[in-house]
Amino acid sequence: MAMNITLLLEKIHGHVALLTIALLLHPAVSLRAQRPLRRATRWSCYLGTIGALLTNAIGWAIYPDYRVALKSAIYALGTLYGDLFELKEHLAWYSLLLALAGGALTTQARSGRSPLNRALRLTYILSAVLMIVAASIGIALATLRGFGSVP
Amino acid sequence: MRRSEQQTERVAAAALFGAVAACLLYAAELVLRPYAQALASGEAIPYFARLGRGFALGVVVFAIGLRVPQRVSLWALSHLRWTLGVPLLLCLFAAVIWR
Repeated sequence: MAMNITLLLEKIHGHVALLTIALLLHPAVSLRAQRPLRRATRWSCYLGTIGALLTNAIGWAIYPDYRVALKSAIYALGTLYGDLFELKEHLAWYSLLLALAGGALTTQARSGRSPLNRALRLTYILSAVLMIVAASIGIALATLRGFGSVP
Repeated sequence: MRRSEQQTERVAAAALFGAVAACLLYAAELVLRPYAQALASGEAIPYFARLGRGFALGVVVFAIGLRVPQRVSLWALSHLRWTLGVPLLLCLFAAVIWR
C-alpha cells in the first residue's frame, strides 16, 4: 500500500503547529512582569520562529493539493467552512510575519532586562494567539474533510 | 546613548515596520481582491504571488527602517499600540470580512 505523502505532510503540519504554539507562548510567560531575557527564553524565541516558518512552509507545500482535492469539498459542506479555511490561511501568514519580527528582535535584545523585551513579548503573544486560532480552525475542519478522506 | 544601542533600536523598529507593512499589503490585497477579479478574467490574485509581494515589501520596509532617525525608532518601540496593535487589528478586520 502506497503511503499518502500529502496526508503525511498534513499530519506533520498540524503537529509542528501545536509544538510551535507552545514555543511561541514560552517568551510570553517567561518575560512577564519585566523579567530578564534568559538564554532558554532566547532559544524558545528562535525555535518558535523556526517552527512558525516550518509550519507555514509545509502548509505551502500541500496548498496546491488542497486547492485541487479539498477546497471545493470543504465549500460543498457549507460556505462558512470554506471561508473559515481561508481565514486560517490569513491568520497563519500574520502569525509567521510576527514570529519573524520576533526573531529579529531576539537577535537584538540583550540578555537581562532590556527595553526591547516588552516589544519582544508582545510580538510573540500576538503570534501565538493568531496561531492558536488558526490551529483551532484547522483541527476543527480536519474532522470534517482532510486528505485522509479523499479517495 | 551609545551607537550600538541606537543601532539595536533601529533594527528592532525596522523589523516591526517590515512585519506590519507585509501584513498591511496582504490585507490590502484581500480588500482589493474582488475588484481585481472583476478587472481580470475572474481569477483570484494567486495566493503565492500575494505572499511573495507581502514578503518583498516587508524586506524593503525593513531596509528603509534601518535608516530612519533614532527618534522614529524610539517612538515606534514605545508606542506599540499604534505601530503594531492598530495596524494588526485592521489586518485582522480585513481577514475576517474579506476572507
